[in-house]
Amino acid sequence: MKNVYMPMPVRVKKIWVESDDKTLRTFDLEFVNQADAFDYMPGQFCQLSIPGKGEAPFGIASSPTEKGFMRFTVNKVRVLTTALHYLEEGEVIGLRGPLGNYYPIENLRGQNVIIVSGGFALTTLRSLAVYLCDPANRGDYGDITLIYGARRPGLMIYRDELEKWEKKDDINVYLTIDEQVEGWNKLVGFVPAVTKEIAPSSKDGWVMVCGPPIMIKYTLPVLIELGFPPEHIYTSLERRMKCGIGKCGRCNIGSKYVCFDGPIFSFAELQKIPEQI
Amino acid sequence: MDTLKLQKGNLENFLQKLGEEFAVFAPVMSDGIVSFLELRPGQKSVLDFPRTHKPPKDIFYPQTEVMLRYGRDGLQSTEYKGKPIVLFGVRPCDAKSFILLERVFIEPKYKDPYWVARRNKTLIFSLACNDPLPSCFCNWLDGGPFNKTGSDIFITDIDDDYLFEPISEDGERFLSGVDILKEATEKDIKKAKNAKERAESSMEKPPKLDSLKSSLDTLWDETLWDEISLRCLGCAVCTYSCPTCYCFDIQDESRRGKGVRIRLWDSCMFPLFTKEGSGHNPRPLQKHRLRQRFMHKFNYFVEKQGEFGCVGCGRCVSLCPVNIDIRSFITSVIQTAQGRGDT
Amino acid sequence: MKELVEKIRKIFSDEKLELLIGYTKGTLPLRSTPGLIESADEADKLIFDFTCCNNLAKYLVDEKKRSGNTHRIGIIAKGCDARAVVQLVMEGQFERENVVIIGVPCKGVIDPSKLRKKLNGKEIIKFKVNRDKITLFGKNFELELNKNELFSDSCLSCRYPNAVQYDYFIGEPSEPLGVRDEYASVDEFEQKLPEKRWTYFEKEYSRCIRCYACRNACPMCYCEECFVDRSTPQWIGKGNDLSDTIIFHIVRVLHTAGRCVDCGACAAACPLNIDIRMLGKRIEKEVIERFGFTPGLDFETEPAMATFKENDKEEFIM
Repeated sequence: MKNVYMPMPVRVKKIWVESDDKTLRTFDLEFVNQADAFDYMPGQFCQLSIPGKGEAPFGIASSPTEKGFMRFTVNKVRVLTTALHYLEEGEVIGLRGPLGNYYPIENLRGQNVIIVSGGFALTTLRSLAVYLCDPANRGDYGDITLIYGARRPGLMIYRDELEKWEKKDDINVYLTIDEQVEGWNKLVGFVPAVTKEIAPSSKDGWVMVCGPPIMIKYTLPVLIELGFPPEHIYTSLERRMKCGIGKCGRCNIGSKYVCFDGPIFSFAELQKIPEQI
Repeated sequence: MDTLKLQKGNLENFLQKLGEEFAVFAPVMSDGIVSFLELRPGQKSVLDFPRTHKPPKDIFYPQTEVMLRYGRDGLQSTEYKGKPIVLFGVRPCDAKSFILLERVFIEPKYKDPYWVARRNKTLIFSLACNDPLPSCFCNWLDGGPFNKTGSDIFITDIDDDYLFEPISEDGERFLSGVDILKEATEKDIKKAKNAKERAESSMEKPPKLDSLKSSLDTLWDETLWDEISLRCLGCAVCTYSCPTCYCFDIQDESRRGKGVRIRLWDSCMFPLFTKEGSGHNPRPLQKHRLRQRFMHKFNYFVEKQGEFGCVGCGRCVSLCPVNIDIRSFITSVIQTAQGRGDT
Repeated sequence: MKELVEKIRKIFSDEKLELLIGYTKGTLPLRSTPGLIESADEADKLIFDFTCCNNLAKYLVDEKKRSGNTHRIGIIAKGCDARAVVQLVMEGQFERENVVIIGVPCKGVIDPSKLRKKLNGKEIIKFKVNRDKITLFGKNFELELNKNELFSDSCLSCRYPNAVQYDYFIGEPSEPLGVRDEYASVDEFEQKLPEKRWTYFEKEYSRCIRCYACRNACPMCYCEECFVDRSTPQWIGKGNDLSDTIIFHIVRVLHTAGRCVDCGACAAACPLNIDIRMLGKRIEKEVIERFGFTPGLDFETEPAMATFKENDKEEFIM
């Protein structure tokens, strides 16, 4: 029997600093043993671990359409994430996955997709955007819109990529920062307000939203006002997790385990749960 | 296969014989505490002890368990590779707890290798309760002092003998190969039947719990949570003494490049259980944590697994340092919901 | 009990209390449960008798953490509860004027873990008291004991059965039980060889399951984050390995040195009947001998661990 707690060895292929305050780093990882490689979907997560430093869940930022690496962006908080930040290219760490469910790709066929994100929560939504925009998939979906905000330009993740996307015509990109700074010629304002201003059409529209709790809290009423039914709004939740496979019992919201039944939930589902998200 | 019997005087012989092939765990008194320990040669089990202080879940799911070892030569997993196990003298509530725990540990998508490694090698001899305790409430929760759920072989104490009734195929296979056992007579069976009736009728009539789950659906913001949680100390006596609580933590411990990844029991009563790296805690108050425990057992577990996550063993009732009684909680939930006309 | 209820009802309104912490009847024979009442009408639920073993001062700290320091709270206090309240005020945990101490005479309280030991796995359905004797009745047994056999060890040698500091006192003051000499068991234990003592502690603490009932029942254990729960850096392992367990108990005893009021709540809360009191009692003796300090007796004396005197013994400093 395969031990579901046993990490697979992955090698750090590339590593770079993602934000100007250096608290975010992005890693491209490759499997040491090709036989371990697995298929995954946008929205799923993995457990990354370093022996002696512990294990924690991270959303997969790469898309399944991107071959040869898996991408993660890590915020430096405590013991494990600090150790991850000190890794060098070529070093080997542990990975378990893919875990959890994924964005409702099947429901999005022929529909317009609006991606709303803030801060470094863009990770799994990047995966989704890349997946939807892949030439092999793009024809299956309607308009794709990305609204992404950060406190200031230096905290925007995947910036080079976002700038390339802005020039493409198969995705509408809106970037916003909290307060105007010199040299910024894009939008200014919080994500909920900007979303309201852009007012994406709710006709055949589905929203995938992920960001800090406060952003989600204020974006949700805007989306409802714009006419999106709760069944068409999805988010990715976070909770303290240990096992990642629905056993250790700590990441539940009501009867749902975020790691096992989620992390992706529709607001229609969440409305039935009294516990606060 | 028929029911067999063992003369009480032959019990130690029988257990010793078992010990040659199996690691035999039975209730043992040590420093005034009765728990399931591996019987050492000459050690006596205390089968007449009503309810062990600690539940037997730690046989399959120890409080602290090494999951992986790591060192220069990489990672090694550490599933149980020892002898087959006999769990002898488990009370019916505890035997049933394994069935509930298995819905988590042996759920179809992810099987817990540490649980499986021990459980698949284990034969469970459960022992009927001739004298249920006043705090026992197994009969509220589809159980009973003679409930056979979760046992391979069911033992009944009938004064001079123990009756052994095979329940599972494994139990039957095992019993057919033991020559120290004799066939039970009709009189013996009658004695067991009488003991069952006596035990069952000695327990108070249980309240109807049909509406408990749906009542809880509507009581999220009720003051009853405040009333109980203000008294609650927030310790883990209830969760650690509970045969069906299973939440755990995973930690790494290392020294000079060598170390272990361990898992250890954790408790939803502790603030740290849900406290996130950012400092945010989705359950900041004891009220939220206590509600989590009760909701998990009587609402979430039902929703996910189709039955209550409690076997009514009564350990938390008798051990809670401030006498929070889960039975009163259950009845007050039903009453509160009824009072509001929800059910 | 009638006197208690009447007087408390009056105090509740006279003092404009927002909360009163007392005891109400438990669900099991010989057990009470802490009762937190928010109006004078609820006063008739209150009881006080020999089943009231929990130290209620603990709830004052909880309440402060829950709703700030502005509430005016009344507390029913045995001698040990009152001493804990005093010590907590001295440690600045809450303001003296926000607490109304209602002293009650204590004649000893039952330690549930001692009761469990006596019953050896059985449970009772009722009991009868006749002077110093108590008869316990189970489904099919009967057991007559001296009440003293069930009382907390702390009660047996307690010097302060009545609140020393109080705003009200209900009832006639009690005499100390005086069953045991306070430090006899500690002195006797100290006569043993070190390895014998170690074996004893090893045997006791190896039963610990790290449920923290002792810590959480203790009025003096109010740290925002207990050292055992710290993860950056992590001080000790979180499992039930004996070395980690013993460190937890030793550090807890050291941290309550000169503060512990020997209420026995920790021992009474332990589900595995561990002798938690022995170490604490030894430290208490040390504090008395070295600094002449007994915690929780008045609002003037600086706590031993918060003050320095020139004549403090310093022979441990090289």
